[in-house]
Amino acid sequence: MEMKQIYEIWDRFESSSLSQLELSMNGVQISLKKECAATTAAMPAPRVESQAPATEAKTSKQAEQKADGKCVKAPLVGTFYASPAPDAEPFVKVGDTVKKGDVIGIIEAMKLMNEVRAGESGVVTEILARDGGMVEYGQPLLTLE
Amino acid sequence: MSFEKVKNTIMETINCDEDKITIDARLKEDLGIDSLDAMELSMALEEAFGITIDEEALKDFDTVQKIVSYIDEQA
Amino acid sequence: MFKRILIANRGEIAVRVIRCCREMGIETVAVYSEADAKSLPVMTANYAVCIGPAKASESYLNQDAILETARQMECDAIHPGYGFLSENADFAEKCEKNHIAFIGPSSEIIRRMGDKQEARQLMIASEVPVVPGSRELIHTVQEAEELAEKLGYPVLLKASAGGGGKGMRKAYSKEELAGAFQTAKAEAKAAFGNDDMYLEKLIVNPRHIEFQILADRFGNTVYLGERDCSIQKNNQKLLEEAPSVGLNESLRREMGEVAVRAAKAAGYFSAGTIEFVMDAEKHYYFIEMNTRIQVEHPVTEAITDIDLIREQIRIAAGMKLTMKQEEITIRKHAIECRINALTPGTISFLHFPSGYGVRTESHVFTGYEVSPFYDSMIAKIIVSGDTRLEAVRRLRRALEELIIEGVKTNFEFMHLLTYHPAFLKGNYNTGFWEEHHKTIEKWNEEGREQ
Repeated sequence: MEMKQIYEIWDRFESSSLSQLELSMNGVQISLKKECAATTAAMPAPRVESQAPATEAKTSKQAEQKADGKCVKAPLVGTFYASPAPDAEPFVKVGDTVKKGDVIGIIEAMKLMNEVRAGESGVVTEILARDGGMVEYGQPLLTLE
Repeated sequence: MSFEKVKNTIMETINCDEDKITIDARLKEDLGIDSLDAMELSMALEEAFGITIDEEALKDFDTVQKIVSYIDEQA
Repeated sequence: MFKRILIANRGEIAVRVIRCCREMGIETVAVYSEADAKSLPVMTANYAVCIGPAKASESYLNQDAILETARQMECDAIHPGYGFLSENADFAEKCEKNHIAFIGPSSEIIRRMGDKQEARQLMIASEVPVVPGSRELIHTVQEAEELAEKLGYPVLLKASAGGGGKGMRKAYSKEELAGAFQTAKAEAKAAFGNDDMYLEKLIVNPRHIEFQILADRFGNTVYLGERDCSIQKNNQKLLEEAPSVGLNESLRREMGEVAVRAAKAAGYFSAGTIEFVMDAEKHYYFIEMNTRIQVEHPVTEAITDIDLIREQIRIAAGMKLTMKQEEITIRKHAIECRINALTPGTISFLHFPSGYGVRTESHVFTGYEVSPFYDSMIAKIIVSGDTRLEAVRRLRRALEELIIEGVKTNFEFMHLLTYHPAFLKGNYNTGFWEEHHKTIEKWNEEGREQ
């Protein structure tokens, strides 16, 4: 089982919607886990931690916030808005079920409104970002189950 | 005669004791100056006297006397 | 004066600017990529905001993310450092439009000096010596041959949109010219989509001499002596020293005044560097102007006792220069040695040299992970002494004290370089690395065998 095959498996896992994969073939055990699906932004460059034989691919190495459950992260720096307009209903509330691709909020940056979509489906358990507050790149906005 | 200043420069750069540095002392045999010391000594002399010592002249510096006369010509 | 400055950079220059701001009582905002989450700028700035993933184009080159952060954090100025956006005219213009002071010259000056051909015309008009060559573009091989005949071989064919060695070819004789012309033109077309060519005299193995200038917005412009950056490996500087052994007092004054004239011709303000090449007969020619602070600025600080980052900030805040040309005296000799990581990895143990006349500029620490995403320079060691020999001996002592475990670096090579006769004699040029690196590497292997 050389590295080339491992890369192929990993690439295919990368583009699949699986968030976890356990595989053992002729003596090599591979476990791949998408820690937390970053939503619309391109996947940050994956880093292969070289520990023989099992290779564990971490898709996004978030420094402090080790978000364990699934969450939706800010794909850019800006001001987070929970609802389409100041007095309108928020896009999502705790307890709502969201499907992959649903808009969960807006981030305004340099006068451009950017919709933030859920990277996967789930039930909203907590809204972390403050409406009208600043968010940095990669900051978890809300958590899903 | 710039012997005094040459002597001080040699002492400071090569760190050998004063009484060994006589006008006819041989750099290699008497003062133990190797090629690296010679290179650094020429740098120090250039800066002390504000002159440039070209490569050829440096080659035939084998005694303190040769250095002093070279510098006296330049000054 | 500014209340809060955003540092749009990373690594050692970010640390340098944060330290200067701290001393000036100015708050700092560090922007960083995910790969730099555990870095010194993030830990030492007043605020730190993640602006993107590791990839530079999505983080340190992401103009909107940086401007948005500056807006959100109410910064009144941005310091671009060197590299990244420091010479990006569009970015400087966006700062101006958003009423955020860009610590550097105006976007218009950056644009003008960034266009090599336009800068060259400006210098010709101000009687600043430029490398003899074509005034206008060269369209045919025949035109190239005529001019090459006049200038005398060897000649250099250069794409006007060229850079980083691309779209350039040398021709040492008439026979080589046609081939060189075609390949350079094709390469420029492929790389820049623009195959305008011009032709210059090729100065073989010149010395690289650059003059540091400082100018405020009130027309006061001074030069702070030169730096000799001839020791380069593939156009990457390894070691710089000030002053240069190649210049005497009168040539220094002459070239300094030419540098000031060049800066005034461009209406320049802030810190800047005028780059010259100098041939064996001490003829010097303007090459380009760097409209930013440079990696090697500390050697100039060491010999003039002027804090160039502080001056940059004061000038950007609309203040006057505090020193006159007559007050600037060169009192010391200084050498900067760049320490580059040869492999990424985690630094398991680090000890920097210090003591009299030794200054270390770095962003690394024990436990720091040297990432493969960015520049490989991890530290600069700057030594100064009353004479060049004293500085060289001090650099040897400093390098002998340096300990960096966990990452391979070039420090042994640099240590041995300080013993090489061509370096000691000081009359080296940009051919130094090519000519001597094999000998030095051999010493290195012999050293390891003992």
